[in-house]
Amino acid sequence: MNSLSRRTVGPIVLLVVGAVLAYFLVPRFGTPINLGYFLLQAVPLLLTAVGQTLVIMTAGIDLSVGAIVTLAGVIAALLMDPANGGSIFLALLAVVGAALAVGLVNGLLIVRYNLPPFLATLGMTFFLAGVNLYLMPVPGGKIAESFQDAASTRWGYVPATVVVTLVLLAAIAIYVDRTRFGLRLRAVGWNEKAARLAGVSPAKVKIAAYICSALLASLAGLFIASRTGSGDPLVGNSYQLSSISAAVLGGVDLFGGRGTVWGAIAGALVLAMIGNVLNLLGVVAYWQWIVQGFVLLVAVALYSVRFGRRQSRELT
Amino acid sequence: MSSTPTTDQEPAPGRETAGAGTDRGAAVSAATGGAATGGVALLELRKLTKAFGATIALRDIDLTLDAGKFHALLGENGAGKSTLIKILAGIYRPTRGEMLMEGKPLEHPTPALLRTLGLHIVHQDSSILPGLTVAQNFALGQEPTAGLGFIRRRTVRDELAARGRRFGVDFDPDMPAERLAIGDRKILEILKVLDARQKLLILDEPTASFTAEEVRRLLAILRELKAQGTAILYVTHRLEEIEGMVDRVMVLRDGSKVGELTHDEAVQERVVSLMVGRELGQMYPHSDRPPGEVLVSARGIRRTGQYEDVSLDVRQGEIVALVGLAGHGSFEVARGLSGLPPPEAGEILMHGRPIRLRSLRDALKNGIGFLAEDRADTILRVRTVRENLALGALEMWSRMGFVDTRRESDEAERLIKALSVRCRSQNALAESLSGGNQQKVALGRWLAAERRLLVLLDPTAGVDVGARAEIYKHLRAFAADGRGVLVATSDLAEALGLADTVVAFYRGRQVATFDRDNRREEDVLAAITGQTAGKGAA
Repeated sequence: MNSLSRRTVGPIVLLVVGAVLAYFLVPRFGTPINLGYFLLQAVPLLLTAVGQTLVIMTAGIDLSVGAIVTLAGVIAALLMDPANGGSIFLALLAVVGAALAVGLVNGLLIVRYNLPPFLATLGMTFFLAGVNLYLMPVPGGKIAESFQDAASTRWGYVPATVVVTLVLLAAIAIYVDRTRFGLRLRAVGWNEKAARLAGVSPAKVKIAAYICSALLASLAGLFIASRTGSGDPLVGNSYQLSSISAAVLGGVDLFGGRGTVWGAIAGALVLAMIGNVLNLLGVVAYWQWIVQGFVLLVAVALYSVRFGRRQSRELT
Repeated sequence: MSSTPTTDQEPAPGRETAGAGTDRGAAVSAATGGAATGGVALLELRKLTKAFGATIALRDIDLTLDAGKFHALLGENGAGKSTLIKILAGIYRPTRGEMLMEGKPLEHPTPALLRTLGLHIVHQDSSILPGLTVAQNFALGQEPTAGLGFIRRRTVRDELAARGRRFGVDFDPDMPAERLAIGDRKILEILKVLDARQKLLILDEPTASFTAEEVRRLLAILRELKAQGTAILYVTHRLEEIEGMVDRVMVLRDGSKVGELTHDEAVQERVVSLMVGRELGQMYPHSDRPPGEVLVSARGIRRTGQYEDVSLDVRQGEIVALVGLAGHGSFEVARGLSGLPPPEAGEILMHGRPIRLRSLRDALKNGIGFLAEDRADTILRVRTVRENLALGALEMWSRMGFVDTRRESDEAERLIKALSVRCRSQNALAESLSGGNQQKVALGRWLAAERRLLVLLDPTAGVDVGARAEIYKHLRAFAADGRGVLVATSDLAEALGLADTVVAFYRGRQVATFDRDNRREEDVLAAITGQTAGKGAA
């Protein structure tokens, strides 16, 4: 249809082609057990990448997602620990409350005090890293058994959390595509001034985006905690940048406006698939980083060649 | 402008029967009576003053706007137009004075309140987002929603089509807005604000970077709107384009209203002298010497899809203007002569010898200076006036790669004086200058660099009338020194006034050439709209 949806096609093609190649070329990739495992591994990346995408669409960036992932796990592990009373309800309330607060502060720093999103969320990252280590200097705490069961529930071969996550993210994708909020999100990312002249309040839209990102990151943190059964003050670090990689791989433009949540979902799955395939092939960790970096750069270069050509024709 | 004057037009039939309030009826009849004093004005400002600290931006402004009338607000940049608009939009609160809508005082008008009262503003900066579709742009900011915030797309489309029908325009709702022409974007913005409550439409410099055709289409819509009883306030610093249809002209200078003219009194010279506060003398300086030898010529140049078989000369001392509708070749040829991009075939000669011109760099080497139409592309906003002036001549002013700062500073001082650039000092940032002064700095860059030919695209777009006259003077002086100027412009009046030779383009071909003695505006207009194809060169 338009350039927005064409940006989504690339990542989805990449995902499908990659999956077909992996199915035929990589032993054991296609087994139900591995596919379930691969999707389960992808859940936190999916959640953080979609949150990141909402922020990037407003021409912002959220570097604090990794720290929020950690914070959610740490809070959950502390409050669910029988030594501290062990209330699941209280723990979930505290996690959601903390995420709301962090997202709100991120948004206010950017909107009210005019901090560049990069700086505001970088500062938040350091702040939260300190908080996390203060609350839990070494991995520990205890996730309630019943909550651990939530993450490992399977319907046949299919992990329930994967289904719930994909349904949630699909709902977000549709929501962003068709609602007032989604339209304003993209409008602010394209051109904040023009959006304001059209009657949109960029401040509200941006704050909402950072809150959504923080909430999704906290869900990722809860998921990881429930799988591992404890809290870890460093567990979320890798999502700070891999959420951005997944979004960009999904065709989301770092300058805002362009891209879709569908693309980001595909991007996150591609990134997770690369990790899974390399694991199956027994490739050592540093090679995995090299391959991921390579794929990211090639994909982004390809996107910009395709979309750049259209633009330059308009300028002449 | 060829339209017939439409003074005191009767309100459209059906206006009264459409159930407009009695206030409105009174305002309309008062307006048609030709006097604002008898009835109730749609909007009235009394002794309005706005001060920012010690600076008075507006002083004791009285202003009356009537339903079904076309009002123009004119003034140079900095005269207080923007402040006045922001007050009318509810963004600023006046320091003193009253604002009345249909006779009732507005105490603390907010933008939202004014909108519900039927007062809408189309701002100078576009609110159209190129990345969204036409329908999405139309809905943005006022989206009709079903539950959960989902947009009612059908409603949006129907409303867009309905409003389009009202003015005889037709938009494809699914087209990305980036494919809309500049003029259509503005029209879409107007459609957006024209809801059922519409009473007053304020347009702030709507036609910047419009083609002549786009201006005509916009004015046709405004004429229709006026006939339907809406008051229009049109803010501009160019009277020419609305001369035929304006009912009342208000002129601002230095924060005060210096004149209010009726349709018949509002003639160009009078308004301009009110705006600038002095007689400008001639807007366009004449050259007293005939042009000299041929400086640069193009022979049969062509670029696929843009222009073909173009041959023209620029002589020493001559200003040549290329005119045509957007996309018909005039701007493209001018760019071609600067290597941006170069022609694919044909020859370019300088002093009769073919030159190699494959890029802007080649053009610069051959003494050709180029100024693009968009000042964002020519001025470094966050660098100083001095640095901006020095850009074209850095090599000349350098020794062994180091800029001779003493010389740079002296030359900058000289140019600022010569061009009468109004700036605090040569160390002022370019962005602190008005549009006209920025353009003078951009021009100064090439005056410093000792060019033989200047190629300019729309050199006075968004430049107020005082600065325009100065820019014309400098261009003429530049040419008089045995050099040449090639201007591609979308402003026909500018081409006719400024240039010695006007070359008209239509569908990528030069269709006519006019020298000083044989040109009338109608003929040039006919040539660029393809109505005299084959009549040939003069």
